[in-house]
Amino acid sequence: MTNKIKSIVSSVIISLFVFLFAYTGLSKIFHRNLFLIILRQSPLLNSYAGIVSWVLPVAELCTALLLIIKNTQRLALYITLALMLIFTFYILYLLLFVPALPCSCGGVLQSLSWSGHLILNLFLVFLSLFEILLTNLPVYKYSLKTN
Amino acid sequence: MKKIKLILPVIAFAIALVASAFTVQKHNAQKLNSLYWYEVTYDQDHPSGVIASSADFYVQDEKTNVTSPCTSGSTLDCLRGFSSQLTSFPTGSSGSDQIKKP
Repeated sequence: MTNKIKSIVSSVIISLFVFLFAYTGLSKIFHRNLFLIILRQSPLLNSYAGIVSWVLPVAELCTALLLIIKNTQRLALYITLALMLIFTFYILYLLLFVPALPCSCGGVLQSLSWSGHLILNLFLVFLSLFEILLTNLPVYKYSLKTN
Repeated sequence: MKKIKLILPVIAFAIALVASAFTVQKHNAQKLNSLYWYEVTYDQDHPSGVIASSADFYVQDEKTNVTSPCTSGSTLDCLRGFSSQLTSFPTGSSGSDQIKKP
């Protein structure tokens, strides 16, 4: 893979995560009442529904912004991986113990089935790992500096 | 190249902003409001209330559609609503929502 292609692939992946976090974060804020109702029905989060209904969308929006800023992109990628892993384990838990509960994710993602969600999340975990590895390649680091 | 790398994530953010503002989530709001309601009993061993068995299942519906078997009040739980059917009894869980009695 040439540096130019790596750079384009990296930009596309980062833009995808920016879109994902911004879209789901803003959807949760725009439809906060609905998000709160779903959180209150979650056996894991119902005690903290009020706090989570603000902290999660704000964290998603902050991650999206950190991904946009060049100097914080690497940190944001690790946060992205951590968030995607947390979401994936949460989906696994719900899939196993509370499959009747609708998803509290924002926007059109809410219409996905739990298994569909799990597949999407696993793909996104893989993608964030791939991006971290890509940006850690020595050749790519050099191209970032010279760009 | 450098400009594209900067602009692309910003465009993604802008699209997300527009898309999230125009996404309608009405359908799921109706679906998730429906809960499994159980009657709560109080005794010496369970002063904060307990759902003793599956026989305490009352109705599955949205809170606004449930006609409570108790006189309306604000002190004790008359019915407790759960997002899914309970499988283990007795349980002192407060559930996702409650309908009170005096």
